[in-house]
Amino acid sequence: MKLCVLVSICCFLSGCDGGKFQNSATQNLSRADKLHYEQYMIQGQQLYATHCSNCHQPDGTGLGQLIPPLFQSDYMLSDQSRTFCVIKYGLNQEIVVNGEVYNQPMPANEQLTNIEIAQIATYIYNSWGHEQGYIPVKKVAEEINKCQ
Amino acid sequence: MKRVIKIIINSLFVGGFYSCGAPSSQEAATLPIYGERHYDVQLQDTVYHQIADFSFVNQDSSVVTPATFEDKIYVADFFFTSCPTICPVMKKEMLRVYEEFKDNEQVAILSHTIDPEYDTVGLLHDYAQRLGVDSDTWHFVTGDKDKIFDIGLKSYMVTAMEDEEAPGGLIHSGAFILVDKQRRIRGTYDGTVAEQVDVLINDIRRLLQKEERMASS
Repeated sequence: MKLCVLVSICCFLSGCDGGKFQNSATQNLSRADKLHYEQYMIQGQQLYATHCSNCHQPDGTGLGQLIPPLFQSDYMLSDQSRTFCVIKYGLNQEIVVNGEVYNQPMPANEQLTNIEIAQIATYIYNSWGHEQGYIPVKKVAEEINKCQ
Repeated sequence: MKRVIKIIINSLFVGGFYSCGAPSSQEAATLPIYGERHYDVQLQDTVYHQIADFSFVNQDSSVVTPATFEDKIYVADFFFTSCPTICPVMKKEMLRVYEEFKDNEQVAILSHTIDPEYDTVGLLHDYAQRLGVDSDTWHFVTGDKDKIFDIGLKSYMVTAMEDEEAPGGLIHSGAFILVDKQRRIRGTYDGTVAEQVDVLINDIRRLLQKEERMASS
């Protein structure tokens, strides 16, 4: 019985290390941060489904030349801080994504808290082949104050 | 052992549902006709609910009336370009319908904006172009707001109205409405649910087959 408990604890711990969301960018995280990261990914996926996927689609591919993709988007991948601001305050100007011009306004989501934005950001920066790692709420809190 | 029992129970259930759910070949050929109907004594025939006359303007400034859809079956919906909620999903799904039938002259799509003050002809033109669709098949129409709300409610039997509380200031249903060549409603589908749109695509095929059979007989 004791052995059984021991084995299951070991399995649990190693399971966290090799969690299904882990990628090259999360290899060197501390055990605690790896756990946080996994939680963020799960919460982020749900928040994404609620607030983002109607327009950007569940697979992040966007819609024609109306709604830009998040999947392998140079605009998004090149600047995390700008993404936090866009999620919170929306966008009302022309942007260029992967060489295409997009000009549909994006509505603001001012009701989202910093932790929710960190979870969404962690999700979109580590899905669909993206590997930018854990984005802690502390980082979002620092950057969101600098939004124009 | 438990697992075996579970499998048996599951298969019983699935089998049961199948036998109930599968339509007979007769049913498969006929889609229901929606709305009120009455018997006309003079015509000596049943008169069905029909889409009322309308006149709107599409993304190419062409006037769109029931004559535009003469000898066509079409799918109608209601949306607005600045819609932050269900519209992009609806358009993604309608795009599947478009791709499936764009080469078939007997099928068309009619998308009404419910925000005609903002969605001008020019804006709809840009919208259609960015979606990559052709106006021969897919009409994006604008017009008098009251007339659009009116036809939505009375003819297509869907919700479309202003609501300050709603995101974007308007509420509307995500329904796709299938209309046959006699301007009768033959089905409504949730345009935000991929499985429902699969049913719509299949129903369009069924309706086309039916029309062909009627034409040849």
